[in-house]
Amino acid sequence: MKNKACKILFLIILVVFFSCNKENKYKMDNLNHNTIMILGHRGMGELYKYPGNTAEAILPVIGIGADGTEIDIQMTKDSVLVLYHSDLLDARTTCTGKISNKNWSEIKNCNYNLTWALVPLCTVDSLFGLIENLNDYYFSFDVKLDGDMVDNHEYKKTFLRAIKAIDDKYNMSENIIIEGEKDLLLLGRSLGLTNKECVVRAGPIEKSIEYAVEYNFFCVGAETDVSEAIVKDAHNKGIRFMVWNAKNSIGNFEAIDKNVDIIQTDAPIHILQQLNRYDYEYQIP
Amino acid sequence: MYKVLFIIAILLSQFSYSQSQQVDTIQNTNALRKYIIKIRLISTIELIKNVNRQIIGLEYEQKLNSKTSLVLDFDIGYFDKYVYYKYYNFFTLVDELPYTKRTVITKGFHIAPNYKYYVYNFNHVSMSGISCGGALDYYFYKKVYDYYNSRTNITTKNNYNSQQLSVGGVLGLQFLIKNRITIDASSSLFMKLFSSTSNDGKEIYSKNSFWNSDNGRFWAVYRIKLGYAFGK
Repeated sequence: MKNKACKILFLIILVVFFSCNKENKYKMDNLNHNTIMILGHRGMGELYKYPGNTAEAILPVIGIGADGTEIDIQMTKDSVLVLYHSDLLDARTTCTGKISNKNWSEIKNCNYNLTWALVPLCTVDSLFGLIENLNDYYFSFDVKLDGDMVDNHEYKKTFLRAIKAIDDKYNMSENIIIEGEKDLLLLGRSLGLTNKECVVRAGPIEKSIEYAVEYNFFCVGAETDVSEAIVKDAHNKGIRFMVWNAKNSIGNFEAIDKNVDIIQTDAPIHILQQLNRYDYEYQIP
Repeated sequence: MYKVLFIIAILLSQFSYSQSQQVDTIQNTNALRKYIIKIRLISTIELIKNVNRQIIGLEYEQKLNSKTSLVLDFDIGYFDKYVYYKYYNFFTLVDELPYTKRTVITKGFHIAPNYKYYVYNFNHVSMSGISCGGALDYYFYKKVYDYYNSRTNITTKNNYNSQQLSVGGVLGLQFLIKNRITIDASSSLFMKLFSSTSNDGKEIYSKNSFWNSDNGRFWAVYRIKLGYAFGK
């Protein structure tokens, strides 16, 4: 009986020791020098306690080691870039209406609908002002245009100029990726924007790759369920691949397996830990 | 009000009577074990947190009488062992991405004597049941940093020690199976009494805990242990 117990204890010790030995076992093959760029989805992801697109959700994802984050960008009537996803402020905040119909002064006191904390809307300018060594991080701007604007072309130009102003103020043109449709990206280029351009929403992903080749865009974007062959095809044409909708560890592994170049993940802690890129020194608030 | 007090008094007297009966029964049982050696299993919380630790935790429990025992809890190993890479200039055309690499190892030990009182014994068997008690926890950590910057090709090293003494309370639940194998689940809450660090290092908060307060003054430990009971 004593022998048996000793054997069991010995086995447990072995399991404890060897189960903890995590080496970086993921070998990638992509255009980022075989290194995946890890971006949070609106910050720490959908499951985080603070709402996405807020400083409260974005600063921690940078703190834990992500290379940056994806954010949804809308523009106020007075050309201030605000981080917000939904069409209407009513959906998530104490305010009503559309951001594009308001001046920043009218909505700067809007808070997210939380009972336990005051979390205000955040501008790109104020967010960038909070981040130390900002130029070490990357941001993917999901440009949320208001489709109801009367003079759509002029509105788009104003929007893009507001992005350029931020680029210039923080010297971030190399670090900001603009996600958008082909026409928006080309318009930005004509206005002198030198950001990385990522073509999305072009219909089938093959069409996005076609546009990227034709117009020399930097990358294409799609959901994580894209096939490995498609990613490889983009790589063969010199186009980087960005994926989103990685909701959990399964989505993260899918992206790694497919050798994508950039991931927007809702489970940043998982992927950073798996790839030895998690900063355990940082205490998540 | 008097009715309530009367009912409480009756309940208390019943409880103390049943406790004295229970102690008698325990004392009359011969087949009870006197010692338990336990090994700590990886807690579910650690698995969820996916922390990089390699620790062995052992515990020795010795019966004092049918209701009380002395426990010595000890764990040793690597409380942090990880590598952290940070890459830069993703879109610059260079042969290799510049990066910094931080290797961190925190090795050390905890030693935590505690006194356990079994509030309720399962099947009138000693060292089995629901317990509470008081505990001390002394820990010593040595943290070693190794920092490499590929842009400058310079490695810098740093290390320091941190030690702490704390006091706290323990709540536990222990099952004795076939008078040999024990399963012990316990939860402790500690408060710092004294701490010190060397080389101007930062104080290292308890690393075997699942929760630390912001200032590191309080923390909670949660453990599941598998044990082997022996002796009579």
